[in-house]
Amino acid sequence: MEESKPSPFPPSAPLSTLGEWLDLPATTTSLLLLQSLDPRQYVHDFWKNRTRPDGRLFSQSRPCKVVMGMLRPHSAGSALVTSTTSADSAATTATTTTTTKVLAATTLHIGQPSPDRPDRGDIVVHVTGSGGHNIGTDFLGNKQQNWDVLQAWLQRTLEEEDQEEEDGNGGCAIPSRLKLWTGKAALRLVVTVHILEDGGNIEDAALLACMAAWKDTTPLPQLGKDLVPVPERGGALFWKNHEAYLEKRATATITTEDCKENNNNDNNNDPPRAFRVSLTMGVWRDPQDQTTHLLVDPSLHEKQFVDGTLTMVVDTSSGRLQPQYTGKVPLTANDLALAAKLSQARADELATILLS
Amino acid sequence: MAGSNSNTNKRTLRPDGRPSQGNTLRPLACELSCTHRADGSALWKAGLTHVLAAVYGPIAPLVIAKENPNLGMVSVVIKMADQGQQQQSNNQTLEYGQFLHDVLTACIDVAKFPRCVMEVVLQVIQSDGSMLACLLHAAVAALMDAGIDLLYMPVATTCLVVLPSSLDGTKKKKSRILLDPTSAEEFEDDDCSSVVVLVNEKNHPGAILGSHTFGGGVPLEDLLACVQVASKACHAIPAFFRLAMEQKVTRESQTLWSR
Repeated sequence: MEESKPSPFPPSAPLSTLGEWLDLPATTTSLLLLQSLDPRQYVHDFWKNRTRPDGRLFSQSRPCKVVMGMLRPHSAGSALVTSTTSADSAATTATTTTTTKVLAATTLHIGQPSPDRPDRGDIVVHVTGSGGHNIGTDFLGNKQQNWDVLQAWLQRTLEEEDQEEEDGNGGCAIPSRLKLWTGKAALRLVVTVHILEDGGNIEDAALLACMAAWKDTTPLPQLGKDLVPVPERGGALFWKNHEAYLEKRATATITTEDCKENNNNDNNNDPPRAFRVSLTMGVWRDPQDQTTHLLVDPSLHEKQFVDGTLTMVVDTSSGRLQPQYTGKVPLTANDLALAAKLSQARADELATILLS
Repeated sequence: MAGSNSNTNKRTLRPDGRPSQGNTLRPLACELSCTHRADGSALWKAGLTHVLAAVYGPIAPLVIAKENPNLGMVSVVIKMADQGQQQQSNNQTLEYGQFLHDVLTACIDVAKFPRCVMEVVLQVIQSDGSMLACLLHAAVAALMDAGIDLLYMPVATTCLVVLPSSLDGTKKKKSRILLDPTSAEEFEDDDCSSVVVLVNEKNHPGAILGSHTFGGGVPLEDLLACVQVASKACHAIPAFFRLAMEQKVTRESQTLWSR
């Protein structure tokens, strides 16, 4: 008769003992244990209490910091966007901080416009990051970041035109502002986006970084002022004084994080630019009462367990919306209206940074 | 652009002959099992937009790293009509592929096919507007032909929102919503219009399961109006799917094995 071996897992053992069996550090709390053993239940327990693992409310975004002019004078414009969970809220819960950091830089090239759009410039977006391109999925089925899709989305969002405003000041239309000489010369804006850290909601941070870098791209070279046309050479343009232009661009001081600009450029005749801002929300349906909730700015951890993702792009000048949604939970008109209201509030909040 | 917008407003018929009220779909055609190598296939035609879809699976993935032990995976491949068009619309193809991947993953019962991959290959034969909706419908028809379990049947509706031009000096009018636009209509008033593609299903016509927007964007009231239009239009496509399946079953019953 074999002797029955003692069970390594006594029926009622404290979680700290369980932590020892799992070879976890002694300081591991029960919340961390639940997070590692059943991450879905861990997140859902917070959501059922109408809060989130990092202590935010459902309608609360992570604090965001925008620093412009990081790479001056090496690029025409640049911006670093950082979204991070606040240290205080992270200390009260058993989760680590999540940080999303994106750096964007712009470069201007002079070239010829496309024949079908002779009065508009061109925008090219490159996205790079630590994850690389087209990784696909890992063995657990977790989707790796596909930078090509993000690149395509940023390219389309920055290129899209908008109807001119009534007073003729022009809408968001970045390509229209890159016009130099109709049919003969235009600027090409090359935007390079580098993902430094991915803590979730990379789309909002990348678009905000592109918009902030575009705002920092001043002054744009102007025909007759900085560039001189040579009629006998067709559409060829020459710099009047390239060193003076570079010096004028470099004299703008590096902006602080609250974006007070002490710019020496004389670009005051340029009409105010409009921007596009996006807000990504996770959609979660409470299984108990079947109510749908929107989780603003989901972190990387939360994004795995939401039932859908809604990204709303808002034009700060016209207030028009571009909703992008995929998910298992159907959204009603009330949900869309709430999402639009949240997006508009976010756009108003960021407009103080981008339009200052 | 203001002149061309006023032309659109004054026209009594749309470019393809449909009434200008904008609430009619183009004629639909669907042929199931048109390719024999694939597990399921469909040729979907909406007006002059033709898409061929083929479904392979559920099969084991070629790369073991793509295997998910709990759920099935969906892979979407889109091929445009010609190589030149593909280079120009590469970004568009990427976005369409991602959108279709997300929608199909949500509507297929992937829990029934762990460690498997369902590959959906979409070939655009001819393009004349409302491309994304046609791609989705062709994929769904091919999935039905392959006998893959679906949790719900997604139906896509394309709405062209033509915003009123404020430069012609007239009073601001309401926006016009045109259903199932052709490519000429999509590009005619490029600066004053946006295309909204909404995905919903027959059991929840008033709610949306997916949306994709092109253009400068739409005001909130126009977006909610598009949701209403989509809810009314979403009954026609499932009825057409049923008709196509009935025709296929009838055709197959008249083969050698029936008598």
